[in-house]
Amino acid sequence: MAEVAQALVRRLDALRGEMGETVPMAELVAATEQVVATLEGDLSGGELALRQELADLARFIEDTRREVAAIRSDDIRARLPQAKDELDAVVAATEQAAGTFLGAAEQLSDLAEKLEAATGDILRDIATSIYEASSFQDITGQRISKVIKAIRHIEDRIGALAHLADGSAPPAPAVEEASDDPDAKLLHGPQLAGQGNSQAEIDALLASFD
Amino acid sequence: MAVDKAMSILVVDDYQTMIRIVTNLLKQLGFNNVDFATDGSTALEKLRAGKYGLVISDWNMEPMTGLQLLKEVRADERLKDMPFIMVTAESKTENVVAAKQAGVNNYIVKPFNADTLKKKMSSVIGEF
Repeated sequence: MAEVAQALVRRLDALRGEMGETVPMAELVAATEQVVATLEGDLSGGELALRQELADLARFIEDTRREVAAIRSDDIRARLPQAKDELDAVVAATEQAAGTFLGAAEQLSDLAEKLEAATGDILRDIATSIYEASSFQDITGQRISKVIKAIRHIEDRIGALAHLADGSAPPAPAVEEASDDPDAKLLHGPQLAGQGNSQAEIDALLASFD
Repeated sequence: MAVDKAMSILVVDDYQTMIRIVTNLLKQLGFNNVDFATDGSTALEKLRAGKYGLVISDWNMEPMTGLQLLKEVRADERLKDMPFIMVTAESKTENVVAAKQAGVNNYIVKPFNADTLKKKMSSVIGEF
């Protein structure tokens, strides 16, 4: 069994020497099949199992390569910019809506100043509720930014997969400019329910410093 | 000592909507002298040039984040004691700890209500 493994390693090293670190899947499959085909003599139970594993692996690699090629990456990559545009449109629309709500609340606040105290207080409370609720636009905008970043990442990965499937070398991944800010890793954005701290938990945390 | 509601407050956020919301809530609390900046760099310039009694800042802004602004403020001899409240969607423990270690006076997580803003401001500048 050790000889089989060594043969496979030698074959893979030879491929790397010819093609560099990125070896197309078709070549990997062919190399595996060649090594399996050179097994000679009586095979032990373990060696037979290894041979079967290698054959299954070769089939799996070939099946995966076919599925990746069938992804129609160009079609997907054409739709992703459209998805980003739609999300940008959502942000713009929610910003406009929030502006409308705030305008109405500001009118209520101004009116409250001209009315007698009790009625004025009611209107001020209504305006306050509208101000508080309008902050949705900030949170949705940040969440949508996270989705757009995820879409960009998917775009890059699909592009790389497409190159692997057709045997060409993928382009070097875009290198994100290193941030000058050592605290950049703290930029998480809004958290899903149960994943961040509530105001009460934050207050307790701050108090623990005292 | 009574809080001087004529004090100038600087609201820092890259979302105009949020600036408008905080400004209106401050007005409802009786603070009408509210200025704003849409990023940390501009805020720092204004703080160095003007005279403010409180900073209410978002965290996630470019090119200078609210945390960077806080650190710059605390490192500035003239501004180092400036009352500073972070108002942000960043709610993880590591964020709160980093802000506290940088010298934040209080920390409000978005979305927040008017009552929370009043309580946190009171804890920093005094009851009003």
